Amino acid sequence: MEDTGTTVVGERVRRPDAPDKVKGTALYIDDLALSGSLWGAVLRSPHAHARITRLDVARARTIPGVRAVLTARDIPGRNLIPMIQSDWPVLAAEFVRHVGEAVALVAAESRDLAAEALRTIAVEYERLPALLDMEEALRAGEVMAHWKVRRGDVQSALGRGDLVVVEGTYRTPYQEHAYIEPNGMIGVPDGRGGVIVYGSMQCPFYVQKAVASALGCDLARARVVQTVTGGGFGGKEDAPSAPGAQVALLAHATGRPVRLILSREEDMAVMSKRHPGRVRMRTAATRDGELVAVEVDYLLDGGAYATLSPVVLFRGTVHACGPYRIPNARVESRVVRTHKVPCGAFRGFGEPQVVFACESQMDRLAERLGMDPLMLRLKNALGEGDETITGHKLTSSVGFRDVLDRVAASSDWSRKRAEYARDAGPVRRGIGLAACYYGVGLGALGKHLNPAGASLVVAGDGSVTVAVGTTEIGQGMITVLSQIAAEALGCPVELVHVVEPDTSRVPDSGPTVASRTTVMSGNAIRDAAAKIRAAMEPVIADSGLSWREAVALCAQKQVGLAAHGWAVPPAITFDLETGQGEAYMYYTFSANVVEVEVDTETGETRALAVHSGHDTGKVINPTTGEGQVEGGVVQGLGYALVEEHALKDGRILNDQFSTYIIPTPLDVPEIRPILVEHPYAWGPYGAKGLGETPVIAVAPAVTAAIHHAAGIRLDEIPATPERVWAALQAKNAGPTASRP
Amino acid sequence: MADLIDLALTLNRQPVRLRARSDLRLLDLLRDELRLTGAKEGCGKGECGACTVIVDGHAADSCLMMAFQVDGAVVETIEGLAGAGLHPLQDAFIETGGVQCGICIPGMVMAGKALLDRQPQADLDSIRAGLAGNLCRCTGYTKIFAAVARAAGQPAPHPPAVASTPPAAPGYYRPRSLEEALEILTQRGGEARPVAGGTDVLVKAKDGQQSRASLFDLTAVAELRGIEERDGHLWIGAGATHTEMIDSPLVARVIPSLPQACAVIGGPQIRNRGTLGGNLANASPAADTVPPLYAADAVVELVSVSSRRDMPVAQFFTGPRQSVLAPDELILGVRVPIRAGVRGCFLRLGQRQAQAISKVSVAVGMTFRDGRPEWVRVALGAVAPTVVRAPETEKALLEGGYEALRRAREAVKAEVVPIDDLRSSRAYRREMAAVLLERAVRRVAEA
Ligand SMILES: Cc1cc2nc3c(=O)[nH]c(=O)nc-3n(C[C@H](O)[C@H](O)[C@H](O)COP(=O)(O)OP(=O)(O)OC[C@H]3O[C@@H](n4cnc5c(N)ncnc54)[C@H](O)[C@@H]3O)c2cc1C
Ligand code: FES
Ligand code: FES
Repeated sequence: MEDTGTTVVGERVRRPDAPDKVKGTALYIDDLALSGSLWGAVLRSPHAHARITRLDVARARTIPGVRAVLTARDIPGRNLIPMIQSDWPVLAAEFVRHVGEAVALVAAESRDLAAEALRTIAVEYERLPALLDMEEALRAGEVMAHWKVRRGDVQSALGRGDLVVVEGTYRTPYQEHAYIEPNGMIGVPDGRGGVIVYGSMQCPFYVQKAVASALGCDLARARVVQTVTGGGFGGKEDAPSAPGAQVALLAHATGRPVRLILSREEDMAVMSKRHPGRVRMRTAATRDGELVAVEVDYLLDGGAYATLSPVVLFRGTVHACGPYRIPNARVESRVVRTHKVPCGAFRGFGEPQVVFACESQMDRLAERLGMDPLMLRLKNALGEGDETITGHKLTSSVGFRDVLDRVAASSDWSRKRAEYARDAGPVRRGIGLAACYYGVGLGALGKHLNPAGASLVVAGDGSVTVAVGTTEIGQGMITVLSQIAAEALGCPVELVHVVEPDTSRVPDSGPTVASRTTVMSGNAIRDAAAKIRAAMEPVIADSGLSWREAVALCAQKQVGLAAHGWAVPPAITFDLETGQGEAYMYYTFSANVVEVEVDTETGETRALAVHSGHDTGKVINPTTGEGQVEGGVVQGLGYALVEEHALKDGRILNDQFSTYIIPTPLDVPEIRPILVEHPYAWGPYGAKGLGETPVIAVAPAVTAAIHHAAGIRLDEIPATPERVWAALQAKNAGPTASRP
Repeated sequence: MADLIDLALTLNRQPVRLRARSDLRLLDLLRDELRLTGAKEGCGKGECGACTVIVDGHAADSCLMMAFQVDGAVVETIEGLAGAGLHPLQDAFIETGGVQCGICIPGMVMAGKALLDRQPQADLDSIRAGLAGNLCRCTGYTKIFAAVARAAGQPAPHPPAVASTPPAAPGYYRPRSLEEALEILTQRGGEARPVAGGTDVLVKAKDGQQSRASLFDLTAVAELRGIEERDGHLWIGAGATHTEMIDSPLVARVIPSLPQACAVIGGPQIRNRGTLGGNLANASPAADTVPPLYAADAVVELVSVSSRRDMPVAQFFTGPRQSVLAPDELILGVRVPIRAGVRGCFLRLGQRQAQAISKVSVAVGMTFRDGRPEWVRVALGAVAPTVVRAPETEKALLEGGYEALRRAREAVKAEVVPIDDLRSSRAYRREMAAVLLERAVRRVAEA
């Protein structure tokens, strides 16, 4: 590891946003009280697919205290939310295509009146057949996007006959983001035909486009300000565009501030989720464990509208075979349209589904070869100079082998692998491993969104205002960017103030996703800081002044200390026809060792420990870094063990926290975050970014550990007690110790 | 329609008097009327703990309390925590990096404070248990545990809060005697519904199945409180909370499976507020206090203005969510015969370790003579339309020994009639009834 010679970067600087949050004074969207504001509410479709044959709002409009009732016909601008395929209406016009789709909007003087207005709207539907199954949708040709990767010659490799081939079909469920703050927005008319939208969100510039498009106004009249946001995980990337546009329409129509805060049930029923997936995979290796060929057929259920599905699928496609050297690979992937809630961005973004398959295959292969699963990974691990399946040659910053070594050492892998295998009795321990890599940034498909801006203003007292277009959603952006700004300016970190993102302050900086924030906004800040330093240097020369003295001297000499910074990543090239090229700029690498205990009589699995290793380049702040790992791992454990949605006729049945189960404080094991720093030259101080890898390769490590403990393979998650128990029954290895 | 009522409480050590709508939850009172927005609404159903405040020293979900229930109470919210400087817990959350998005943090801090106020030296296990009613989706909890551990043992900036204002006594909404409460039930033509802990009824209200405007409080009714020995019986008032039953040595002695059951209900906030009477009246087949009562031959005492009747617990329930409780009746309490040397065990399977509803539960009560079973009771929850006793299973167990246990396992599978639902499957439940039965019996035998 090289010494970057930093003073603030790399330190456990305290979060500047923490004091307000622990005091309860931080203002989230539902905490804002604007005098004279109205309550917004949304009438939603009870059907998965239907034609609206009658929609009569006349009576609702006459209720005293109801200030607006809007339908698709009342939208002054375009009734489509700008997104990759722009197929998603703000309000359903003729057809509804999923349960919960917005049909009409109301704004009223009270919550009760708004509810009453909704009940008074007369709406009739003619029900139409609904496509609810992804395989059926595939057969019906309802494909939203189709990507491929072609490398080498998979057919002839699989035909060789001297290889060991394993294959399987893997299924993964919906996953709910389950941020504790439901989505909410407040729209305030700006008095000049535009609307200012405040809200809980990850991507103010997405919401801005949706608002301007719906109102038919200039982007500059659609100002969007992010309020303190209570968790996102991708769920507040694409999805908030809908409530954002809706609240803006209501504010515009009434000339009054309008608040639209979703209840938990509404949020769970209609906001985006992780796509359910189905992956078929064949993996071939030589008898000594060298991977030769992998064939993947990857299918995602996109729901009714495309939102971000094409790019979610793309990420899964190019990462489908894992961080390994594979000379022959063929990936075929599709996302299909069904009459269900639209799925969208979720931490990991199309990887967790396919990584569950890929890593389960690796565990199967190791078993077939009689090889230690760790050895199999080490043997095939990507290193510097190797190519990914898209033919991207990795020239630097590939810390995968280091990560594997570190998680193995932390978990005492070999010893426990042997020791746990000797467990007898009804409760047995197991230890499993899984790995992944993650291309940071928006990659080949999202290049146009990639640049990011920053604005730095140094005040007379030396304090610094930093405005960026990416957002704090709990991940620690404010902290990390404060450190980068302080480091780059040479000022005390306490003087740096990162302000809430506001589309009127910085140019479109793309979304806060894909673990890109540290690198992109960080580099934009460094760019701006360099300009400010350049202005300061001639004034202060080598005078040894403190930061505050230097700023004062500049003021005296009438030198302005403010600058805009802009970061554009290095160009990448990719051919979508062959799936060859640089899918992303660079990659982070990760591996988890999970220890579990399986009760073979009840099927209950308890995670005992997770050793979670990540090569994320330079760690700007170890505390926020560890926090990302711990939180991501627990989301991954939820995905592996308990989280799923049950649907009936396209309606989500478990729409609350008592039925959609996430881990509580009593469900979490010991988590050991291991941060491995292989610096990335273009990243600020060598950082690569860390938001997402922690969640990705947890589930396959859990099921591998269950296999180690109980000898059963689960090709479908979550590994609920019912599923584990059924698999044990099938294997005819049910209760043993229950016999007297 | 909701009335306007007068309330008085001690809020963050200050007396507060105000007039508010009778249908407000405590959370609404704090956030909308008093503009104390530190408590957050993450679910409105007692599941996330983001709305946690401390009421009379106990952590409570303010989304599951009616505002009139804090009349005369001492309420602490996150806004009152800091003194001259931050509270040690607040400092610790900052220092350890326990804060990410922060939406869960006020609730976490308050749950942590309630824990440390009672158990200043809480260890990691107690900290996990103390925070089990609070969800966080960002941190994975690790640094939150570290924060509470760091604050443990540090002196609090304030002495414990004491009541500084007498209740305003909002009449109808908060009766003080059984007589008044029973009157209210008859007055409004069966419209009025009692709320005790609110942990069932306010969940229903959020789902639109119950109007909040028609609720009145039972928690100030003296005759419903208490746990005591009465004429050779254990008497538990309907108003006894799960926490009170866990803390009572008398309950542990007479009906050992009951505190075991109470201990796994919900999380701390739910146990602090939820009551035995509410658990019974709610009549869920998955109610966790009920199998222990079946397995102890408990009798439910019912009262109305004009009558008093006793009901063996098995006859109290008539179906899922149905009981013999008449609209003008209240549950007064539960009577449990005291049986010398009784042993008991309650086991259940839930979807996770806290804040879970049972998929299957088993309570076993037994006495032994010369090492052989003399009296056996087996009851199961969530495997039939009501909690059920398993007489054939009991008969098999009376014989004693391993062979009997094997036959009991088979018998119990025949005595349950489980269903498939969101939480589990019929086949699994049936098998697990047998697994839990065996485990419970072994524990009892080995006790
Ligand atoms: C997050 C969460 C987790 C939970 N976990 C569990 C669990 O693990 N196990 C479990 O069994 N339950 C659980 N519950 C359900 C609930 O907490 C219990 O049933 C509790 O005991 C109900 O008591 P209460 O006082 O809160 O009832 P309330 O909600 O106040 O009342 C429930 C019903 O009983 C009536 N009632 C109350 N007292 C009387 C009385 N004295 N006479 C006549 N009628 C009365 C009310 O009118 C109402 O209809 C959970 C609930 C939540 C929200
Ligand atoms: S808001 Fe979730 S418990 Fe009260
Ligand atoms: S910090 Fe975000 S939910 Fe806990």
